[in-house]
Amino acid sequence: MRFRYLILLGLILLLAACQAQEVATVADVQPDLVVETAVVATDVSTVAVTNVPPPTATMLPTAVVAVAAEITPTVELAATDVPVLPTDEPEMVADVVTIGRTEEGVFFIGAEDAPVTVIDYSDFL
Amino acid sequence: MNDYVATGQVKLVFWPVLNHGAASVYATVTMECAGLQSAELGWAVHHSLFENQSALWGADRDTLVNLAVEEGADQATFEACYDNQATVTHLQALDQIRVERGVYGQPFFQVNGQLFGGDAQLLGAIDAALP
Repeated sequence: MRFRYLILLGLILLLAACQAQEVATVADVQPDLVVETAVVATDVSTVAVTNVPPPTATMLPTAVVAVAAEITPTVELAATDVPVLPTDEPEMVADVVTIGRTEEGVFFIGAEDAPVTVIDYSDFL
Repeated sequence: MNDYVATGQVKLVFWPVLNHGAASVYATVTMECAGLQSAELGWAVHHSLFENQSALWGADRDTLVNLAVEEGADQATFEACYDNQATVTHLQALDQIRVERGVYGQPFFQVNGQLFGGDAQLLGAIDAALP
C-alpha cells in the first residue's frame, strides 16, 4: 500500500515538473518575439525602438501606414505631350546680328549673310 | 522669329505699308526719323508703335514725338525730320514699290522672294528655306 502511494506521489511530482518546464519555454520565447517586433519597427518607421510592446490597437495605424509606405511601389510619371527641350539652346551671336538700312532705305535686323531674308510688309495700324 | 534672327538664320526687313491714311504715314515717319538717328533706335520705336497700336489712330504729333523721345531719340533732331516733307515723300515711294510687288494688304511676307499674305505660312516657309 505504501509502495503504491510512493508511486502515485512520484507520478504527481513528475507531472508538476513537466508543466513548470512548459511555462518556462513560453517565457523564453516572448522576449524573442518582442525583439523581432522591434526590428520590424526599425525598418518601417523612425520610431525609437525601446521596449517595444506587443502591437496594440493604438499602434496599428502607425504601423500600417509605415508598412504601406514601405510596400507602395514607386509610381513612374506618365509620359506627357510636352516636348523635351534640346539641351543645346541657341545662343545670341552678337557678332553676327547687325542692324541697319538697306539700299532701298528700309530697316533690317539680322546677319548680312543670313540664308533667309524675310521682308515683313506691315502697317502700324 | 527672334530666335531665327538671333542665330543668324534670318535677316528681317521691315517694309512699311501705308494703307490707313495720315495715321499710317506719321506712325511710319516716327520709326523712320528715329531710325535715322540710329537703326537700333528705329527698331525700338517700331516695337513701341506696335505695342501702342490702339492709340495710334488718334495720335497727334506730340504723342508720336513723345513716343520717340521716350525711346531715346533726340527731340530736336527728330522733330526736324518729322516735319520735313522729304521724309513723307520717301515713305510714299516705298509704299508704291510694295504695291508694284503685289502687296495690297498687311501683313504680307516675302521669304527669299516667295510672297504670301498673312503669317500662317511664315514659320513653315522659313524652315523650308533654311539649308
